[in-house]
Amino acid sequence: MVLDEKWAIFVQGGVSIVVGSRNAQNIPTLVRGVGCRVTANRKMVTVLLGRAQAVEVIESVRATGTVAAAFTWPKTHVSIQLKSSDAKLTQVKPGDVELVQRYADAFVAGLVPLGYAESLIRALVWCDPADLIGLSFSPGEAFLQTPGPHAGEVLDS
Amino acid sequence: MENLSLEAIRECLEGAIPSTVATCAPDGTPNVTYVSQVHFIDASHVALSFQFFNKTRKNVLVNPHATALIIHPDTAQQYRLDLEYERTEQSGPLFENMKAKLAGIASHTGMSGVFRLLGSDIYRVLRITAVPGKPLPLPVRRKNPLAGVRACAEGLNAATDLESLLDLTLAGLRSHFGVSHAMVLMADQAARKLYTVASYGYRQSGVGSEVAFGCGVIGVSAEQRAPIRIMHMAAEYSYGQAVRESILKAGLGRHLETAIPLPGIPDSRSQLAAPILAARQLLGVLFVESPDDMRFTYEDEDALVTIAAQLGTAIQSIQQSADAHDGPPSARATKTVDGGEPSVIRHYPADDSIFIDDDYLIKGVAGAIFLKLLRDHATTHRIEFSNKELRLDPKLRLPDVTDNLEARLILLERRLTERRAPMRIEKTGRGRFRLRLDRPFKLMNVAE
Repeated sequence: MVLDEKWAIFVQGGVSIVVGSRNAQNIPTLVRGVGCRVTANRKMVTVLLGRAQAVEVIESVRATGTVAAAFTWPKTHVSIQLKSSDAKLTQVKPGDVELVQRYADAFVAGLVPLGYAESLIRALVWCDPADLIGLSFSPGEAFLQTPGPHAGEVLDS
Repeated sequence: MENLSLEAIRECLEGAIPSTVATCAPDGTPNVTYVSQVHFIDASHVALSFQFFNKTRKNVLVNPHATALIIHPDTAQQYRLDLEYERTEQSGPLFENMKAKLAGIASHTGMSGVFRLLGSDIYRVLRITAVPGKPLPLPVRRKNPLAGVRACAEGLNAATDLESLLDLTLAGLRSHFGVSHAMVLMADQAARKLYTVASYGYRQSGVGSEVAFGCGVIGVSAEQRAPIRIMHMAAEYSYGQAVRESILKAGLGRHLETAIPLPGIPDSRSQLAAPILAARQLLGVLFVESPDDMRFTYEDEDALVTIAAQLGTAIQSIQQSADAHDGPPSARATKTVDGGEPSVIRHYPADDSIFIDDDYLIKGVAGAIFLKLLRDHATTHRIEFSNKELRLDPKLRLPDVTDNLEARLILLERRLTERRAPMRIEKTGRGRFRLRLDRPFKLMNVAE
């Protein structure tokens, strides 16, 4: 599917990113993402992860190629989830380290007004730049997850 | 980082930073979502709030494996909890506790009317893993709550009667836990309500105010016999609401006039109520509150529950010793009051409510006791009485077990003092007290 432009901007902003996968025994696991980029044609999404933190997700993606990624704007709880079964681990690209830095700044900027300490949020999304890895997938399905009566509705591309 | 215990990291479950959970559908599709609450139950169990028939819920009913990601609110250290779904509870203490907490979270996050607890999904914790990262150093604790509990427990030893026991408990909470507002309510099992006997920190003591079982944080704690702690206040658990509900439950009429307002702080943000239990009996509720969000922690809850348990045992032993050593039948001291305008005491037999010169005093058992004292005085001019004779008086309808007579007398004595009534009761010894009359009185029975 092609991601709607609005959502492509959304997932690349200062949203909270959580990525899940599962192993061959259908046991799920999850990790926080530290940045996201979407290709110009909006067909491919890459979430950046710290390898050390994502050991289980990396193993699960290698084994099953499944992924579920939730992107949430903390202030409004607006949330979408992208799912795919063609996820692959990819090398970081030039500019990814800066992207992760920009992501941390934007995430902090969204949370400090809600009363969270900047040092706490920086610690939460800290990642060794030398340890970055990409998790790339073409979204097969997209769901609106904002709490409420429309949660779980399929987003049209 | 092996051998992590859930107790050691339960601050992560206070909800300061939301937790996320991953599940997997039978067809192998993973799902990740935020959860409003991951509630600590014990060293090997947590409960997740079930609010919507969402994917998480559908998945775990078929594939019980789930993984939660929780975050320490002070250090940002992340932990993964490997979970296995066990069952769902839709009533009882755990459910009510989570429901109260969720109402607070909803009101704090602008989700009132959206968040509603349908069930508490209970999971076994199979494994806890610390996620590598660069957490902040853990702040040094301000106080060790165990030392506070010890000091409170030692303080209670000085109590000689129920009144000093209640006052020492509240003083201990103030000096050892820095609690700014607290009250003790005793349970009236037959009427399924609680009445305030002692408080501190409020402009009005609220002694005599009532809360129905099941209403507000205090009433839910009594009904469930479980501690209820909320970090953010929600309208549906507030006093005003609780009082209105009590009145509605009781029916209208004179009830509005005879409702003593619960003390309470208008801008209460954090509340914690612990049941006072002894030998499986609910004796009352110990309650603390604060104008600050997230004021009371898991450790404070542990402390208050322990102090309430200590208080329960102490109340019971004081009652038993009062039964054993009740004073002899009172000396037949008499006294009459001459001069002065007689105050008019109106009594409504329907609920034993008492008005002194149109000013509401008290109702229920305490009202009946007051009436008995005045009637006895009116016929015999007696001024000295004993607890024993009150306990034996069939007209007072004191419940057999834990009659709480002492608590009723404290209530009556404090109300008379607060209302500056022209008569007082004064303790003269163990199980004995005197009626002090400053003016003559005239009794009026108001039939309805």
